[in-house]
Amino acid sequence: MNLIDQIETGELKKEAPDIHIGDTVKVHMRIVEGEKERVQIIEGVIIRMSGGGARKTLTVRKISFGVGVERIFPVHSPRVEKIEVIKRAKVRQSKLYYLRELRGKAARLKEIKPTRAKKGTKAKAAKAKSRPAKAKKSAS
Amino acid sequence: MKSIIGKKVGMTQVFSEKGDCIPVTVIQVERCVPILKRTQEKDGYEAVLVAYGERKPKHTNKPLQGFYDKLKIAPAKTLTEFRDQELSDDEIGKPLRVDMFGEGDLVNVIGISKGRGFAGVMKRHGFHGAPASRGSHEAFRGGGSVGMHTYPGRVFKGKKMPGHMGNKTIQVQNLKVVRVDSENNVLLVRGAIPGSNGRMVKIIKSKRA
Repeated sequence: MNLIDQIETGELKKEAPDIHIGDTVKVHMRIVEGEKERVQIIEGVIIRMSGGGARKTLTVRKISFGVGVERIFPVHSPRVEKIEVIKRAKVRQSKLYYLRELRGKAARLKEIKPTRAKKGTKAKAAKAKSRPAKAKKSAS
Repeated sequence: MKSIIGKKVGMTQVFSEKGDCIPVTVIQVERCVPILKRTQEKDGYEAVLVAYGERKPKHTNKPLQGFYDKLKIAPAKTLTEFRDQELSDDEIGKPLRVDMFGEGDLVNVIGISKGRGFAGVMKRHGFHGAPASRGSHEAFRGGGSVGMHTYPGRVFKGKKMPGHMGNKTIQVQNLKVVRVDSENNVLLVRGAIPGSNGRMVKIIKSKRA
């Protein structure tokens, strides 16, 4: 392991959030206003993830008062307190830039519904659909 | 002594306590030993001679080997002098550590910039060149006219022209020390420093600090 990797490993958060492209997330952002500190929640779809390790960032897109707003968050920044996954969606691109041209109903993504595992098939289902199974927790 | 030699490892980013993202350059200090003092009486100036890195015996020529034998030390990659340093005699021969700097200190970093070879005026001086269209032909990246007519009848000194770019000593002043890792002898300095990765740089205390 080279020196730069070592330094970057030290910057990582202990619990990396399990997030994917197309997820609808709530990002809890700590904001300092003068003396006061408060937590702002930004909700939107992840349209891009870039960088690796401690440099990883995600771009969250939301429609605010009819205007598309995109915000970039460094995943491992201490200012990002928590990233909550609300919905998982089936996506076929790693960058969802096409959402920028779409409005309203057209800009929806096909949701992956969290599936309930049947008795006896629990292990099998969890293995086959590990992503939706994980999403169940945060969606409820 | 507030000067040291190190190796530029590369750049990355770290988060501050507040959560700000800081771009840093990682500088690693390997073997770095003050070996000799130049004195006013003997040499006419005050300086400390520092040996950095290791050199294989087969790459050390005989005059150099003789110099190292006289001081009874292993051959070094480079020898560098630092002028006007405060160093007591019993510290000679003891390796220099990065903990001479503290977090938040300001330092100057001296290095040799990346060589760009023979560069034109657009790359070297930031000229805008000529238009790409609207009747332009042949000279797209040229610098245009270099002067006037019979008066003054010459090109002014210091006229910006093509020539060799880079590969010269550059000093970047007042960089903040972000982190000091005395265990690995590593220094994290805010911002960029001259030269390519793996090249040696001198770190000296800033005059403003």
